[in-house]
Amino acid sequence: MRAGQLAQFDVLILLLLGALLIFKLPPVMRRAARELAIGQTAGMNQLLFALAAVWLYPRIENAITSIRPKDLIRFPLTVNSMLLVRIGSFFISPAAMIVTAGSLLGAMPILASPRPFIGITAAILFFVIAASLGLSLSHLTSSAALRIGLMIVTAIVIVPLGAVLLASGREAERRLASIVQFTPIRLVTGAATAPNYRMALLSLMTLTGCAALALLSLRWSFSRSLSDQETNRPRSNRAASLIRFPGRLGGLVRKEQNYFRKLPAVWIGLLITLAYSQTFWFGAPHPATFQAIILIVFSTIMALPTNCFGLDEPPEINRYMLFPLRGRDILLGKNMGFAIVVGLQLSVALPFAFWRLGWREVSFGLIEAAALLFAYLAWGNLDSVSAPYKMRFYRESGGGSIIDAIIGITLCSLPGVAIIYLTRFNSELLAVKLVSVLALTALAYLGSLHFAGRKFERDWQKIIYRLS
Amino acid sequence: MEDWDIEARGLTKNFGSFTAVRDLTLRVPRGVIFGFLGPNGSGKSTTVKLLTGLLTPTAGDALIAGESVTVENVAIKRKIGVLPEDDALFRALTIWEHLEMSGPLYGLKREETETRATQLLRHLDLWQERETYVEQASFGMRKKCALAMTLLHNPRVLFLDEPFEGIDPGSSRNIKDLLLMLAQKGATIFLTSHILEVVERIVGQYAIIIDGEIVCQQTVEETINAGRTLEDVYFQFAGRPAMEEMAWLG
Repeated sequence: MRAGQLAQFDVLILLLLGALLIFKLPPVMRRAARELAIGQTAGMNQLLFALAAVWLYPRIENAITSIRPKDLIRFPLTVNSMLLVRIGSFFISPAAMIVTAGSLLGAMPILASPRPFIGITAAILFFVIAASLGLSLSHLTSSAALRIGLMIVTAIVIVPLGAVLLASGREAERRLASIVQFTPIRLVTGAATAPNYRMALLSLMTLTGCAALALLSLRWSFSRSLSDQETNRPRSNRAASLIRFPGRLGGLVRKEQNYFRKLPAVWIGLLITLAYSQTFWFGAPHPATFQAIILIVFSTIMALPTNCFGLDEPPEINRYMLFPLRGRDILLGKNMGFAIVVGLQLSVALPFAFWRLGWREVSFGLIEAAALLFAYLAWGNLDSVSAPYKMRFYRESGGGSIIDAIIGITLCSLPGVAIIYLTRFNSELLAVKLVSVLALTALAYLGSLHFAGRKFERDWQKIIYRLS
Repeated sequence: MEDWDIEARGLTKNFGSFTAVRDLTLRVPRGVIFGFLGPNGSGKSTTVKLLTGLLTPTAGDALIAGESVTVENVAIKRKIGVLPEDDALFRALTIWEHLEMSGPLYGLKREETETRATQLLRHLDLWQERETYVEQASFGMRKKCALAMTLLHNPRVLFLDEPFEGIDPGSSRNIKDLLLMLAQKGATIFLTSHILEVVERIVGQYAIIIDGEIVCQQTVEETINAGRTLEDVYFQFAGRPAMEEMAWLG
């Protein structure tokens, strides 16, 4: 099973990098090389920015393959030795190897610059910084207090930045380039294109200092994560449970909320709506952007409905089976939990949309959200009981089948795309068409609840086996 | 005719070529505490899983109060309370949240759930720790939480897999008293345990399972009348592992 998950994750990375290599990377690299040769840096800056994002994003710290701090703490090893094992295990993942190779390939245009060897050294230091910060971030998520702090800092940085970029339209690329000036990326291209050795070495020294700081932060965050494993025994935070849902399944719904809020994707979706909401201060955006954001938010949290047992440990599934519940009841509880989470994410943008776009556009958005909800749950219930894979708290999920994901995201987005099309380009008998789309997706959902519920009752032991 | 609450008819479970439980037949009358004993890996927990629907038998039937145990049989699940081997708790919920979740699923109103949960947690000396997340709780706390969930809906039949494992002496005493009181009121209790002294004190009947087969089934009264202890009978069938001389140890 673990080997299968690893293979799927690698396929995903390979596909993404493969597509990038074939379609995007060669022209971008050629442009970057041409520019660097004459001392310009815009293309290389963009390339390095994209590579840094790949290194920073915790997904490449593959949760399944790399050894976690809590797995190391019982061994009679010093903190430095444990950190070395941790870093080594990180590179065991073929995905990390691919990213490393891809990054080195991406740095090749620097060879065309006036100072190729200093430039390449600077690029390697830059990747060390990005990888160290990526790992430090993943360590920080082991402590509740640090997670909250990290979330606040991210919100403070990402939301205004996202809002400015979203509101910029065609100016976004230029603004992004100006932001890049304030990152270590500038030091890499600065070293490669410096007019003299003194300036190049100065950039290199500064980058070395940054790398040392990043490594120190990695050491600190690692040792901090070890001590949190030993001493942290948090008590419940009732305010953290988003809504207390009434009724027989209320406890199950709350359980789902508790689990969902430990997934980064949920918070990323919230940050997207928060950033989008801030664009309304600059003026009324095109109504289609509101509908597009709804589509995007659903796609960011796709793993929640399509792998709804992924966060459950085998004993937890045993508990479902001990409860006097049918399979459809269990799925319904999970579905309601998801509906509340996505509802809260989208509700952030609603007052702003009312303010700038009016009730008509908000109604279209709500209908689109309802249709998407039914579609995602309809597909998700079937997918959850057919192809479950293990997910972990505070980590992105990387174990699902890439083919399932592509089919799922395409099928589930269709009702949303249809509603955008109908409301923008085909307004004849609009109400009838919208109700039809909604009714169809609702019917699909009810059907899937029934079939997936029965399948869960038949195959729950297989699900446990796949999650073990 | 005797009123059987738990009945197994030729229960067999194979995992591939390995037979965990072989042609197991037993009957437990209503209101009896039944001890199910055996060494590690003998098939005790598998039997509990088969009797509670957590495993589907390869052959044979499991019946509770005359009704077949299946995944779909929700009515049966309402009648039984199960303390499984792995506790089956949700790691990111608190002890209190488990009970709050459990009550309504068995048809209890919120107020009733809270009243019962409070009493159970106080009885099990878990009240102070009720806001602790299960993943942060000790082994004993998790066991007590699972036991409280088992008892919350006042089930007619209880399946307790190692209920005294990891429990402090005070709480253990309270649990024993509780089980005896429940049996007096007509509840049927099927429990597994390795603590033979405790089992001898509270069970009315017992069976010993070795390598998936029942090798002995009798009442404690019969054992005592034969001038033997439960431990004598257990070692007669289960034997004792050979002692290795480990001069390097100590």
